[in-house]
Amino acid sequence: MLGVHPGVLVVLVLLISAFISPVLDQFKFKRFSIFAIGVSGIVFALSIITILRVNSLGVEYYHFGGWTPDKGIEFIFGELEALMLLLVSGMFFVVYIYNQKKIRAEISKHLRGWYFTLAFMLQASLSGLILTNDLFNMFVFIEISALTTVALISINENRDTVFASIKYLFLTAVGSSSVLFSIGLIYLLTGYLNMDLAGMELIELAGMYPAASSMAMLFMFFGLAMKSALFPLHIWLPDAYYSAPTISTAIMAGIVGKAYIVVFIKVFYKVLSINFFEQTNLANITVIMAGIAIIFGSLFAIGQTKIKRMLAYSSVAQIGYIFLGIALATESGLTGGILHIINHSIIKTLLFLTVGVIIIYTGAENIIDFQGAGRKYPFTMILFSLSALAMVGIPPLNGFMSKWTIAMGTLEAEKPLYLVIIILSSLLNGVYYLPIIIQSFFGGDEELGYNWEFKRLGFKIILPLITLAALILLIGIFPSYPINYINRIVFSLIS
Amino acid sequence: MIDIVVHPNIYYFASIVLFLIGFYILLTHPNLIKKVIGLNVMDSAIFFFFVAVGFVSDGGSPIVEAGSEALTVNPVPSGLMLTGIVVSVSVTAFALAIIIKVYQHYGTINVEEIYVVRSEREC
Amino acid sequence: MINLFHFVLILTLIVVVISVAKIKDLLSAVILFAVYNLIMSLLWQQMRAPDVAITEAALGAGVTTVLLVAAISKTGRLEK
Repeated sequence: MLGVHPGVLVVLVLLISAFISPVLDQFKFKRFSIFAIGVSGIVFALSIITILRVNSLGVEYYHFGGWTPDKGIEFIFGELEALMLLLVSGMFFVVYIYNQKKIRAEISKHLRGWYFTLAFMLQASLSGLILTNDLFNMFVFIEISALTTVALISINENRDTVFASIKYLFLTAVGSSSVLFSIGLIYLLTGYLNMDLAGMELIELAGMYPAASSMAMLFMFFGLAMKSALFPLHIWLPDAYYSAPTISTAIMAGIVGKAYIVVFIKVFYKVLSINFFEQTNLANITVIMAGIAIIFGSLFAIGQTKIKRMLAYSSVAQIGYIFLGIALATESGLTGGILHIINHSIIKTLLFLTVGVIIIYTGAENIIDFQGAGRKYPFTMILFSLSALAMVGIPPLNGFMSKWTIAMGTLEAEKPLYLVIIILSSLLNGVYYLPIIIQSFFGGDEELGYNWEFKRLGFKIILPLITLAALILLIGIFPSYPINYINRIVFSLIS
Repeated sequence: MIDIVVHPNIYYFASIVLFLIGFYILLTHPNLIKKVIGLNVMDSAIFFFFVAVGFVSDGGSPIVEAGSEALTVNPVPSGLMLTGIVVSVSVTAFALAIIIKVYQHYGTINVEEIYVVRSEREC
Repeated sequence: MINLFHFVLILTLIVVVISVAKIKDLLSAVILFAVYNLIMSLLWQQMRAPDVAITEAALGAGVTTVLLVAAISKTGRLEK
């Protein structure tokens, strides 16, 4: 179609829509949400075409302007990139369908066109970040996504948002500077900015210049860990998730954090080879930091009074799981890590969407106010319970499969302490999720009787929730399809 | 020109010293505008590092006529830095806009005093 | 074996940055920051990168200084 790969059209369509939105706002366009659903639907269809094409034809490259890879920028369409592109496009599509009526009213009326400009640019930069094979192009997309994420947090001005966004802006700018410094060191060593070519050169150069190579790896690790909120660099996360409006929180929790982890996998497995990562003991340090993140994230979540902060600390713990799987560098560990990226994205988005319904429709912000919410909104709380149980890791839901695979990875790498940590943290997860579920259905002091809310919420809010819940059940009951696909990715990354 | 004898990697040493001083300003001063200045110094030091990567001593300007074999400077890193400088200015502008909003909501731009105001509000 | 002029410029850069860190009056710190950007731009011209030097002179010494002075005029002038 048009002589280009459909994946390139994804970034192009999103950028054009991002620039059309303010023009439409000038002409007093009223139906922004339908425009957003249309554009993200087109992008979702393009990403499905991409993944089907990668499945049948294999890895493809697209060179911009016809330049060869050692001089120009190229996009790579491999298995990992197609899968993550499908995840990003699908999650944005689902969140835009959810953006109806009262939920849309959280953002003030004159800012709605600009909100979609920012959201389209964020999606364009995240898609470009995943697809690119050039280091400096990756840095430019990282900067675009950092600025638009801060703007999405601070779209409503109140005391909490302003404080959270300035904190996030400083920390993410420090992270970007570190990544840029590391890219400069890699260019100084190898002379290439392309990821494949620089990786091939660094395999032998890392032995000849160990100081410069390890400094490049350390700065890249610091920058990307700051952006992915690995403990102890997670301090921007609770304030940012708590104060942003509901759709922004769902976008940030489900999509933005995962894109930076995908960048981490690509850089640390392709450019800086995994043997070097293990030789300098940075892999051990990452495993220890991930273990601490798993335990302390759950411990901090237990003592929270506001529901969105509790979910934010739960995110910190789950990101620890993903980094544990990645840093173990065994086959099962990496498979479990990538599967947990997909699972956590679906589960966390569903959690934030259901909690958003209850916060906006009843005004409940604290956990204590959730008593009896299960009788006023039973369908929403059923879906909340389903995703909370998936997060704890109960079979046959999808959270169990990824945690099981990561546990197998810890046994393969001969670190059985982390198996104990995984089991312990599953118990801790249960401590703070289960009381909410029980209190919402059986607590409170009103009369017992269920008030099904399909008419009150409408079809367009129920549909995304049902879709995500169906995905949770499907991936849990038939895990062999995603795991076979991810095994192909892991085989090409590790070998 | 007058030459003096120092280590040939002095450009890289200077850029790392400037990076560390900028990071120190960002970390220790509690005033938000000083933190923005520190962030800018950090970014400038990294751009200096990149341009020094491309510098060849005794190299001429990178204007090449066909067939000539003169030694020129590598123009690729300095081309990348044009993007970097613009990104740094955008981040500075955005941070200053949010800082003005912080002053309107909290009445101070000292980070320690902001924490005191927030903890008083929680109780 | 480097040029004496480059060496003097680098030493001036480090002295200016340390003084930016120490000064409590924010307006003086911003003007010294403009001096820092100017010397950086001069150094890049000496290293045969004229496009970066022009961009830095326009953006760093021009736009960033104006933005910082505007921000200081709306908030306090002295760092406590």
